[in-house]
Amino acid sequence: MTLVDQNPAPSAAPDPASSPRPRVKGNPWLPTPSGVWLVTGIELRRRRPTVKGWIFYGLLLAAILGLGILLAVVSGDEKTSMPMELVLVLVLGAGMLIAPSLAATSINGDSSEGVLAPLQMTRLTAGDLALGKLIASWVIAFAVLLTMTPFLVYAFTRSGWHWDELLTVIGVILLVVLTSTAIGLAWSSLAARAVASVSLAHLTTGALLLGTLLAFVFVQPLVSETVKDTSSYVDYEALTEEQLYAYENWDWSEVDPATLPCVTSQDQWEYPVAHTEQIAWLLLANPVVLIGESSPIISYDTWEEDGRAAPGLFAEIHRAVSDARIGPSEADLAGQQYDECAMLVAEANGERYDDGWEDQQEVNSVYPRAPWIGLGVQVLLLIGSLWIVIARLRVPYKKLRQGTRVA
Amino acid sequence: MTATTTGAGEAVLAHGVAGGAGAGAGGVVEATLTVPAATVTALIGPVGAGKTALLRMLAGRARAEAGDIRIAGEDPATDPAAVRAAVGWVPEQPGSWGAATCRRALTLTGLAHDQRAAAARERAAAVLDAVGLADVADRPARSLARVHRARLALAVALMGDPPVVMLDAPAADLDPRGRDDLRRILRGLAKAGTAVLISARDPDEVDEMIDDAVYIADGSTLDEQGTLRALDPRSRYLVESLDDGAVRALLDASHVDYEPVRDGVILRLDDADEAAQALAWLVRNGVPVHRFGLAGASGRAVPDGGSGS
Repeated sequence: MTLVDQNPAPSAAPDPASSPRPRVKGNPWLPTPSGVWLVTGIELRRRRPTVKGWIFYGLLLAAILGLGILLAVVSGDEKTSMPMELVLVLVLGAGMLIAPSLAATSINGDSSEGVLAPLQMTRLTAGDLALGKLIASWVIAFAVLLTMTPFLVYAFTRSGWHWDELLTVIGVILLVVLTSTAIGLAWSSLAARAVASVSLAHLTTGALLLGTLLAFVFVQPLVSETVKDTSSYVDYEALTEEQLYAYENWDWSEVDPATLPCVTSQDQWEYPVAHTEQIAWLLLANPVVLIGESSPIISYDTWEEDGRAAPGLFAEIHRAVSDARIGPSEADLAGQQYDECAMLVAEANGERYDDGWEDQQEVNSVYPRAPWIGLGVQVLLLIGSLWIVIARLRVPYKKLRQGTRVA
Repeated sequence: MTATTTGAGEAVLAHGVAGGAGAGAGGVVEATLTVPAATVTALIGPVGAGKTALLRMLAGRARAEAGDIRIAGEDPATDPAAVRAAVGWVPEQPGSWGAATCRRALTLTGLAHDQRAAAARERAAAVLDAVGLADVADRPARSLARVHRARLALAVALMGDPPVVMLDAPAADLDPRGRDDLRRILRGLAKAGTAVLISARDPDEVDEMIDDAVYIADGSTLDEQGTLRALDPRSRYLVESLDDGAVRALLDASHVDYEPVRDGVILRLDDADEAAQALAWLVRNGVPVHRFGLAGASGRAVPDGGSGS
């Protein structure tokens, strides 16, 4: 059985059915839509799940639907954004864990290198390969989102959000996942071994999530100024008999609390107040903060009148970040923390002592959103990572990768 | 093995090519070779001789630092995309196409070569037949045996209908049956006009499938004479002694031609009788010979680049 002689297929004769191929000049690298689409298809077909994979996926879907039904049954009728925020956090979390893992093995994996080399010999450009692999890994985040759709639709109807707000947040989540995926792909093109690139991809994601928060905390001493405690208290020593009696028995029938002698604490201790408005950009670079900053503003005062649910996780993130962005108030910088005399007066008059905290909450909650720094960081990382991947996938290589035998 | 034929229709021309990590580390220092169309040529050399680095440069996958290369008339220095399109590349480690079937892998590769879907399917079927994978065409690639996976890699390389096909160490761990299949496939390609360039460590691996061979060691290709000497193991005897200087001095004094190598000297002896006489003569002259035998084509037969001749 002479295999070749039976069939003259690999012949030099022009293939009659093949399309006329224009000559390629130079060494193009720009991605083309058809090339990207083809590479995405190749990657997805190579990775099509096995039966076990589908069973796992089915179980996951059942668990999510079960959870959704359970939540619908046990929760009351009032509006709540909690279930929807849960879904969005799950999509973000699963996307940021799974998609970079897949991407981080898609260039340097043992099985990938031997497939990459023949594809580099075709008309596909480095840009086609990079974007195709990026999208093929990113699609997993879409799959998670689609799996969650039934639950998400139900959760949305109770959340008090508007459609456009939900779509904006989903768009931002998908962008964050896309960037993490691109970072994983970049590590895959840089590191020789898959173990290294997967670890580095997750470390980078972790640095963005936790590192920005830690940096925000540790940088605070650098932007702090020292203030003296100027809290004032009732001057116990200077009280008259009458006043002392009234003060100790909390009986203000005879004594006007406004007449009590007040004193600023004697041994004034010093403490730092951080100018967080100078370093709030560190928080804004955080992907989760970015999602908080992309979600709708929900007033802590008027949410009910506005037809919203009570402020949830994202509104709380926005409030806390706004607090950091606004920075310390005049009173904070003056060292005022507590005024016992004013509190006594207020209580005696049947009012609540107002230290401005609740006003501040409300101001923070409706402070304008600031998603642009976070979006900028994501887009920069995305473009930078893709640039690395394309540079590394371009043949001819200028030099060999160290420590590997590349085909 | 025949001498290199020169003339028209040369698919691969390389002159003074250098690049890669450097001599001895798998780099190429000075490589010159020619592969005519419709022939199978082997690039033979020991581990670290620069075979893979040279193939990569010829295929337009790595940049050559010096020298001239023409692949089907294209220059990889100015037009690497055209060179890649002209070369079917089969890496040493065949990759896994995972869950995709062989037929699917080939069709997708055809599309990547800008073929129309129908044309790609047609060609995939033909190539599957040609490399003997028709029986397993619709099985997922990850379930293939090792030998079949290597053939799939060859089939993938053939999808673009390249005038030049390069295979890195295709016969390295094939059994005699596998080598015979490979021989039929490669001879079929050559018969159809394709220029085939393969690499091998040992000429025995590829002896029966090639028209021509080029020997490469420490990053340099040997000329025709050198290749013939390096690859003809029958008359080459390696003499290892406790005192190389004494052997060389004796041979120089007696005007005997020899080839200095890393571990001793190589003598060209016509037959066993002459070998017996030579050994007796060496011992009689007080040379402390501790090893005397056929040098083979690789390994210790590497020319002694430093102190040579």
